[in-house]
Parts: sequence; C-alpha cells; structure tokens
Amino acid sequence: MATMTRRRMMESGLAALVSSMSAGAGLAQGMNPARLRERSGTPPTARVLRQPGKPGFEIGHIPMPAGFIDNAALKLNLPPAPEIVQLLNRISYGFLQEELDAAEAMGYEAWVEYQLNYEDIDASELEDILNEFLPTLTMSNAELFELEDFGQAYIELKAATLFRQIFSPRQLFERMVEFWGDHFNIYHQDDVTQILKTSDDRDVIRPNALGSFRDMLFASASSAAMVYYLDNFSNTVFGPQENYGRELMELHTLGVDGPYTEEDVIEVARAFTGWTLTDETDDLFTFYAPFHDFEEKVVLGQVIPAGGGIEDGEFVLDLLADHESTANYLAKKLCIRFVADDPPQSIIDKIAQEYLDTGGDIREMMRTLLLSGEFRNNDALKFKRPTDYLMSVIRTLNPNLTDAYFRLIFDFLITLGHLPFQWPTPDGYPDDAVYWTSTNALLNRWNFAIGAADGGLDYFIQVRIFELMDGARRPIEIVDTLAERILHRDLAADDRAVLLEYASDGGSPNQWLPLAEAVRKARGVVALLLSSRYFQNR
Amino acid sequence: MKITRRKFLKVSGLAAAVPLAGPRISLAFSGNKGSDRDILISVYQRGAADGLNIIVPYFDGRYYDLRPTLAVDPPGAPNGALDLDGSYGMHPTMTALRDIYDAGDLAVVHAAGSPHPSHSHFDAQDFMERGILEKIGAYTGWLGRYMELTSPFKADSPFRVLGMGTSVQITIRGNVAAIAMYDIDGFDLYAQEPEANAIRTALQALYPGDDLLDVSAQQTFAAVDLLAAANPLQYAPDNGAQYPETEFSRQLMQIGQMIKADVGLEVAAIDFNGWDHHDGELGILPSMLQEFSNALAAFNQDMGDRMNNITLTTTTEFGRRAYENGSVGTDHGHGGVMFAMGKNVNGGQVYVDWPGLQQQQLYEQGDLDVTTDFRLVLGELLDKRGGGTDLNYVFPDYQMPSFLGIFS
Repeated sequence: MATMTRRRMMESGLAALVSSMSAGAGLAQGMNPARLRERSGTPPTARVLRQPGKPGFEIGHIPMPAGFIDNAALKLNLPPAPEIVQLLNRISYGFLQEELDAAEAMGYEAWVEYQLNYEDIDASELEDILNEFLPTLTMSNAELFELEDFGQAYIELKAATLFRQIFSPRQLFERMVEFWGDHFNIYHQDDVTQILKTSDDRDVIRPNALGSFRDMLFASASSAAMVYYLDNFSNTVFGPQENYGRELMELHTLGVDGPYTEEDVIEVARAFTGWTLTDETDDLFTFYAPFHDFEEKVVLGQVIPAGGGIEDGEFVLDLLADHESTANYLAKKLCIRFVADDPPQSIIDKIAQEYLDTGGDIREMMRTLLLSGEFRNNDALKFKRPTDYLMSVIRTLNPNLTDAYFRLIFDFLITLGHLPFQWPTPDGYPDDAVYWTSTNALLNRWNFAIGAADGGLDYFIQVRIFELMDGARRPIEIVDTLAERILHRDLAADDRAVLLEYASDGGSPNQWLPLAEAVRKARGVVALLLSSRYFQNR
Repeated sequence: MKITRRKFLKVSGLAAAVPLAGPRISLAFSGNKGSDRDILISVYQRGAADGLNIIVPYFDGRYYDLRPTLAVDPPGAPNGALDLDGSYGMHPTMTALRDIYDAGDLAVVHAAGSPHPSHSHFDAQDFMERGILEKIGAYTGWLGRYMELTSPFKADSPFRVLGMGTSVQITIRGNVAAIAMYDIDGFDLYAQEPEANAIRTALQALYPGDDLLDVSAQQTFAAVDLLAAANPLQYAPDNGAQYPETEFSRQLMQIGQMIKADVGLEVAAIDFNGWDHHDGELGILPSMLQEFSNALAAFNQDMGDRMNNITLTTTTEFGRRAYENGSVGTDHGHGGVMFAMGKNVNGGQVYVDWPGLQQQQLYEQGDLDVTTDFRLVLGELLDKRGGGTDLNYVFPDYQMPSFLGIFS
C-alpha cells in the first residue's frame, strides 16, 4: 500500500500544480517566509511520502568553472562522514533512512553499480504519472508548436524535472541529467525554447546522461532548442553566425582554455552553415544545403575538403569528441561536480584517461570516479546548490506533503535563483560555493529548514516528528538520535555542545522532558541540524 | 510556425557568455577619494519603457505623424505634455517629477541607451546590466565592478550592496557580497515561539569559524540584527513624503529606510517591471508613469537634505519603436530615456543630441537612434559621484568620450 499512497501524493501535487500554474501565472512571486507562515486555516490534505519499495537514490551534482571562483573554498573542519554516507550525499538529492540501510546492506561498490545501471531500477510508476499529468512531455516539437499556451510546456518540463529529483529511485541518473543539462545549458525563456527544451531534455540529455558523450554531442548539435538558442539556424554561407561554433568548442567540448583559435571558431561556424530549422519535419531540424558553405575548411589543423555537406559538421563533432582537451575538460567538470570545487589533478587525469580509453563512455567515467580513492577518501566539501538543499531537506525528513507543497518548491527555487533551465547564458548554473553563498542563500535556507521542522510551513510540508525522535525524551537522546537520523555522521564536540545546551535549556542534558517540551526541542534540533554547516554541504 | 521573426535579427555572439578570463583586479585599486562618494541607486525599468512618450519631442512634427493614436499633445493642449525646455515635454502624469526638474535636481537624457542592436529583452538587459556590448569577462555588473574598487563607508557592513528583489540583480554582482531583499518585512529569521531566540543563539554558535560559509552566515546574522535595530517597520517618511502603495514604491521607500538607518549602504538596485507595452499602451502607460513619478518624487522628498549624498539614475534596456503598431502599442525599439536625480545632478535640462525621426534617421528604419551611450552617463556618474573609479575596468569595451556635464 505504500506505493499507492506515494502515487496519490504525487498525483495530488501535480494536479494542484497544473491547476495553479497554468500559463506560468504567478511565477514571478518569490518566497517571503513571513507571508508563507501566515497561511493559516486547515492545510490541504496531507499525504504521506512513503519510501520507495526498493533501494534507490542518487548522486549529487556539481558546479562549473564559472567566473566567480576565486578559490576561497570551503575549509570547514568537520568530522568526516562515513564513506557510504558521503557517497549517498554526493550521488543523490538526499536520502531516506531506508535507502541508507539498503546501501549499507549492499555495500559501497554494489550500490555504485546499482545506481550506474539505472535502466534496471524501476521508475515506471513515476514516469507513468508524469506522462499522464504532463502531456507535453511526450510531444514532438511540431506538436508543441501547436500548443495554445507555450507556458504549458515550460511549466510541465520544470515540474517533471523537480518531481524526478524528489521521487525517482534513479537518483544518480537524475543527477547526471542535471549535470548535462547544465553542460548543454539552454535558457528556457529564449522565445521558443519554452517548448523546444522539452524535446532536448527528453531526446538529447536523458538518453545519454550515463551513456555516450559523442551521441549526446551529436544529438545536441541537431536539437532544435540548441540550434535556436545558439543561433545556428541563422548561420549561413551568406552570413556566418559564430555563436554555436564558439560555444561548441568553448563550453561543450574543448573548454575555454582549449587549443583553438579565433580562426577555428570561424571555420567551425562555416562547417555548420545550413544546420537550421524547418517546419517540414517533426523535430524541426534540417540540413538546408542552399545555406551551406561548400568551400574547404580547416579546423584545428584538419582539412575538411570542399564539396562536403552535413558531414562537414559531423566531422567537426567527431574531431572534438575525440580530442584530448575534451576529455580533460569534461573530466574536470565531473570532478568539480562530484568531488570538490578544486579537485585533485590525479582524479581529473584518471577520468580523462577513462574517457579516451572508452571513446567517451560516461558510465565508465562515473564508475572510475565513484570508486576512486580521491573520491572515497575525500574530505573536501561541496556546498549544496539551492536545489540540492531543498530536495535533501525533503528527502531526509520524509515528511507528509500537502497538496500545496509543490508551490513551495517553486517559490523557494525562484527565490534562490535555481529553477531548472533558468540560467540565461550558455555556461549553465555555477557550481561553486563562492557564487552560491554570495547571493544571500543562507537566510532563505535557514527559514526553509526551520519552517519545515517547527511547523511554520505546515501548510506545505509536515514533519513527522515522533518518527524522527524515535522515543527520545532526554536532551542528550534527542540530540544524538536526530543527529544520527539527519546527518548520519558524528558532530564536532563543540557543535554537539551547542545543540545540547539548546535542548537542555539550562537544565541537565539527562533530564526527562515532558512530551510537549521534548517535541518542541526536537523540532528545534531538527531545524538546527538542517541549518548547520553539516547539512549545507553534501 | 513562428520560428523566424525576431530571432533572425540577432547578431553573432549574442548569447556567448564566457567564463572568467584573466585575473580579478584587487581592492588595491581603490578609487575612493574619501567622502565624496554618493550613495548610488540604480533603477531599472524592465520591459523597455517608451522614451518617446515619456519625454515627448513635441517640436518634431514627425513624432505626430508616426504616432497618430499614441502621441502626447504639445504643452498647452488639454492633457498636453509638461514643457521642459521649449522642445521637449514630460508626459502629463509626471507633474511630481517635473517639479524636481524645475528645482534643478532632475536631468533627462534622451535618445540614450545601448548601441547594441538586440531587440531581445533578456539580451539587452543582460548587456546593459553588465555594462558591456560583448559578453566578456566574469558575470558581473557595472555597479558590482565599481564596488570592487571601493573601500567600505562602514567597515564590515553587510549592506554595502543591496538588491531589492528575490535575487541579486546582475547590475550589482561582483566580488563585494550583495544582499537580496524582497521586503524588509521578511528579512529575518523565523521560528515559532517560545524557541525563536534560543534557535537563533544556537544557530549562530554553529557557524563559529572564518571559513567562507561561516563568514557568510555571520554576515547574514549581522544584516538581520542591523535591520532589527533600525526598527524599519516603524518607518514614517520625512517631510510629508507620500509613497504610492505599490511594490516599486515600497521597495524604493525601504532603500530610503536603509539609508536613514545608516547601515552602510553604498549602492542599491531596484526594478520597476512591466514597461513592455505592445498593446493598450494608452491605458497602461499613464498610470505607470504617474506611479514612477510619484515614487521618485516621494523618495526625493523623504530623503530631503540627504539628496546631497545620494544620486539616483534610471535605465531601461531599449526604447520602443518610433511608430505605433496596430494594437495601440509600440514594439521593441532602440533609443530611450534615462533620468538622473539628486542635488549633485545638473538638472533642469534635457541632455540630447536629437537624431531625428525622419525615415532615414531611424535606426534600422524603425527606431529612435541612440546618440548617447548609457555608459557615458553611468561613467560620468561613477567618475563625479562615485569618487572616481577605473572606468576601463567598469566598462571594459568602451572608450569613454568627454562627459556631458550631467553631474557636478
């Protein structure tokens, strides 16, 4: 019956979402914690999020080499988390106790395998629900263009993305989808990308997120959303347009420090002349020969003979996919996402070599990464991006979610600037602590955590405090039980003392508290743990 | 299918954001000349405000030819423009701002904007906020880079850079941490009683160190404390100032509160949304302009003598098409209008090199051209009222011409 309950919960959240957000109405509203707390009266029906029947939860993600990094990285001196906890923190969006139990029972390596082979993890229930409630997810680009309201596709793709992050048992896979969505970033509000990003996510990113980078690169190059977003549709022999050619090398493959010149940018742009859009096909992409530049090109020293057509661009994609700089660049980004803002060169080299050895097999790269000593014995911290934080609060608490909770998720991510596909420029959301801590993130995170824990946000999510307390009545039990349950790791002595002092309220940490007080203190301790440095990082 | 229309107008390089290339300039460059820096407030009219109907070129008959329905009548006519200098007039709803203009504290810059050809709101806002024409360098804004070269008014203030809104505007992003505040009411730690104080105390004790995250946390606590001490909810504007009861006005008032609370505010960014009037402009624009005008005027009045140390400027991503469209509105254009307000503004003047509205004078055959680069206005602002700065750093792809003398 657990499954049934979870299904109803997901359905009601989606139904409420669809009715409240059609046409993207109200998207501009941010989260005002004071106002949210004023929502009173009977909350909408609460339903219980049951843990999935099978173990499953995934990976964490990562930042990017963005302009804000200045190496003032995180150096918190916290007692290390157990290896398996660290793994789950990095490769999932937070995890339930049951998932940790399952992972521990299975063992580190087996859990990595289990998550890597995501095709064998059943996610059909979730996908069925999404397809039922969010009809645009399966539409072709041509069908999407017939929508009366483009905003429907826009909202539905965002909703699906967030739902999968919360509910999918294929957690590592969803992390990879997010990673590659950032890598091949497409801003969701560049005119028709509102609708075209749907197929890009479905047909470019998701099928290849743990598959072949080369396939993903080829799919991206002919994805209508990308062709539109980076303007290649207007790249013609009569008026070359370098935007795609430049980003293809700088952001998608070789990296900004890669061995290409301005001349190469021009030559690559020429190779992609004629890769454009049409309304003659279902996916809207076409190679239109009259726009193509048939003269000879020279890219990275390689001659592309005159007379070639669409194969000019394909030659470039192969050349770039095979390039050592691409291997290094992708390896570094993966390590930044999963290991540290400033990962050791040794692990980058290892992943890059894996890329070259396997012809760009992402699953093999991730296996090497997750099994490496650099990852397993890593005490660096990754600051949770807003989505990481939000999802991990929900998945860790395993609370009752009301019909309205999805609204809260949207508002939180709008406020914190991290809705899916809303980073305007092609470099994708930043992946470093400096950027995310400099944008006033903490106060909003704290208020979310406190509201989730102490009942202030009961209208949306309701923590099941008795289950978390597990019978603890003395301050010392409350602190230790909840720290284990929420952080799954040791607290530094000073931090534990702070929590004990809070929970004891001047009395003895061993005193037996009346139930009401124990619950109040437990809620406070949950709020503090979720607000602490421990939980801000993954 | 609607693929083609605007997109083909985009030029190359538009969407090409580039990660940081090259080292940051450090604080050692500080251009602070002491106390001669004003508090700078940057207002963004998002959506592309219609400069031609805000500051009406009533001397130019072509204006009336191009806008048979939308044009504002010349001064003297019923509901005609408010004359500024014999050639230009303000929209008739803007009497409050016209008074400030008459007092010499408000300047108008016309046919102003970015020379960038984009007609995309996003691109144009992005370029303008970053103060550039090419997407070069880090993802920082012109005011943010300016702040990187300054020393604080008040050491350790968490409120040096304030963005009114749910996230920090690009304009003020840089390596001086910015606070985003949608509303003073709400910028606090919220916990249920009776635990609130105890949670607050414990939480602060859980961020004891000097790591990036600890510092960020301590700064947040400091900001919350400062606001609480300033007791902002008890605010009563001075000098009888009356702010309209709208989001923009409330946020502008709250910037004023922060200034009066002396929390160390140096620059603030604030948005006024909704200027994209493709249709029904006659119904919408007057009320928006009245609000805009009344809000700025209320701020000016509320601040009183403090306007000796405050300068407010406005930008919008581009103006609107010179000729009206078929829906009683205007499409995306090019040149627009900027305002500058404060005691250090050489006001009472319209700064303009009128490009003309004849067909051959229009930008791409349709838009009022840009004859004053927005960076020239903002560059002079930073030079004169920002205590001087390295304009090559703030506006890296712009060769600054001679200033217009808008600021003293």
